[in-house]
Amino acid sequence: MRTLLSTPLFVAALAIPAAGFAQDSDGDGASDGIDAMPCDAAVSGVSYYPSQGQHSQIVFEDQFPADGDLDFNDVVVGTNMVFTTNANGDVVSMRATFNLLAQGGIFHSGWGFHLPVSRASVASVTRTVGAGSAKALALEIDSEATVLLSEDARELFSAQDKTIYTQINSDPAIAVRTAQVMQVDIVFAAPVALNMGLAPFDFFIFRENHPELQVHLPAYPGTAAMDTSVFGTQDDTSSPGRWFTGSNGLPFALNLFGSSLYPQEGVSISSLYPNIVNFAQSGGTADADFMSSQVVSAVGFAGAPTPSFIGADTFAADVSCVPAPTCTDGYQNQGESGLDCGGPCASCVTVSASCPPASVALPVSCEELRQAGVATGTYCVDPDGPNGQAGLVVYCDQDTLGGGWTAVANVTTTGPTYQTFATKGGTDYLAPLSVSTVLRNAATEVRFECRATNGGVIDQVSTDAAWLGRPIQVGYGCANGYHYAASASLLSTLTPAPANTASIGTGAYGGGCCCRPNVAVGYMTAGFGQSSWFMYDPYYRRAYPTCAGTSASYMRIYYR
Amino acid sequence: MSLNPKRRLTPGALRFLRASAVGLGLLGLAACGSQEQASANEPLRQIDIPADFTFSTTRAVTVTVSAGFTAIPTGAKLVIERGDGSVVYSGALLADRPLTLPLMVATADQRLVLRMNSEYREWQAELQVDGPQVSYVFTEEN
Repeated sequence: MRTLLSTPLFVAALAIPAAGFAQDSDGDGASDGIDAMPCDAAVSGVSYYPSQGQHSQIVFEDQFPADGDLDFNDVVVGTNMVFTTNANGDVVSMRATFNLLAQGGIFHSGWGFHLPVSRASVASVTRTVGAGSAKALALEIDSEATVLLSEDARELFSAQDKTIYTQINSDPAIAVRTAQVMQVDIVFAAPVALNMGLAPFDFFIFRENHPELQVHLPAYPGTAAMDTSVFGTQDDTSSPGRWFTGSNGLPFALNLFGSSLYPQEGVSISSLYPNIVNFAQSGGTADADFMSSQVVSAVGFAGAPTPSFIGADTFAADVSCVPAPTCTDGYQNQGESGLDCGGPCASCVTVSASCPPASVALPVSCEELRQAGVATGTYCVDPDGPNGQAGLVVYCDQDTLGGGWTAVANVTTTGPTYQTFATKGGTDYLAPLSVSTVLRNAATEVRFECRATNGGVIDQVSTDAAWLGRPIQVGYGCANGYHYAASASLLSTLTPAPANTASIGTGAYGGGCCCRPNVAVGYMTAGFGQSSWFMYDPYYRRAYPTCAGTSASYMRIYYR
Repeated sequence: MSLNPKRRLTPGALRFLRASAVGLGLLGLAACGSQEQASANEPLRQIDIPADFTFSTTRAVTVTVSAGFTAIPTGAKLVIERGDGSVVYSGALLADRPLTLPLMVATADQRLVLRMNSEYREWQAELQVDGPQVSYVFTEEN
């Protein structure tokens, strides 16, 4: 049999920060990150009445079957209910919290609670008052689950208060008294299809020592112990389906859902909530918000201050079965960037100057290596991921402009101006990958270096427009089948204005048939006092690297 | 003015009666107890109340939520809120089955808000609760 937790240290049901989505400690199919009870295989959700952290009032007139004064403060109870549910929405257990807000009637009233489920479906009922210990309650002899919670609910007030005061918390001239909270835990023998939409169900009062003299909400006819001969006597006008109604069909109990006020002593409920008249006359179709509209709060009473009278409404989420996350637990948790690696664990990045077998996870770029603290050098990366081509050995520049640059190609600037890498000469680092795809999916910046024969960098430019004020444009100026390097209008917008714009020109470059995305065009203005041009077409793996100056013979192209 | 309890009052008369009741309430009517009795001018005693009306301020709505796609292979966290943002359900929504919850809504409530959170992304939907049974299917698009 399952039990409920009764620790006073309640936490939000889903506040389980350490658990990952994939880890399912109780094996109920709901991973720890989404499971309201990650250590309880029977429970995966929590439902609330009226909602989490809120309460709703049930108010009574205790003179049944005689009409009362309609101040509905003879007994005022704030309720909150929490239901644990399984993955199908069936209820595994429930906790009801009852707060006696007012005892305005002179009768001493007992409390009872009836649920519309079979008596046999309930495994146990326990009652806890204040900080006391839980006490098991026996079910009444009834076909459905009925339990008497208290013979005299005034027991919830202190011995002094209940001795001194006949009526409590209904007269604003008398200081507010605070009652102890009553918590009732019900565990079902098996998950039950309890209609939570009927909450607060059948909470009722009865005359002290007379459980046969009950008062219920009008939807309920009374329990098996009810003396039904009372119906139809004095002012009672009960009929099947509308029980416990006095003259003119007025109820002896109301569920003031969402309200925090009840009438002061001797004040009719229609004085506090004037729109209840239209609500009643319309049969509930008009002024359903009567408890929040045109309320005359001056004649209302709130009882003990909130939230002290609201009982705890969440279960403690037992996480004792969830193991502390480690770097070997087989789950991606505790801020790991991969399965048991990254974050507080060892780096997920495999650092190798040559490409290991395909089964080894590889970094996708030099940027990933940079984040792992790997210095400039030649490494194996897998730009299109483990499901694409095998890894490639590339040059990683971790020193320039923040590092993280993956070399695409190192292209000679001599000879024909616009050719494939292979024709032009040089190294195509990413062959046989589709460079276009890699750049489109991974690159946010492209950088070009004009390099001397001896490998020294002469000039460079990147898509970081702020770098030395020398921007490049990616995919700019595509028209009529040509990629335009720049236009007069573009040049006029650049800050600082580039030098030697005359040599840049505004004509067409590339001589291609088709405009494609990710084609980079741009210029450099420093270095030799004259322009260096590039155009780079990753789709066809060709470039127009015009590194100016006699000593510049290679253009190296990077992305990151 | 007639005090015939079965006579339907005009709006003007109702306003007068309500105002009178408020005034009398403020003055302090007779205390309750075994002798308690509402004022003869009590507006609730002057109106016709439908014979089957129980003064219920809530209604039951059965909400069925499911995820009609495979983007939540490990399930998702589902939170259902009232229109005022207060939470009425928080827990798991599994990928392989719908979740059916009978929930209580106020008579005046018109909508619930559904929030679903998987390890990949978040969804949010507004559900009109205009009948006893409502359902919602999360898709890739919504």
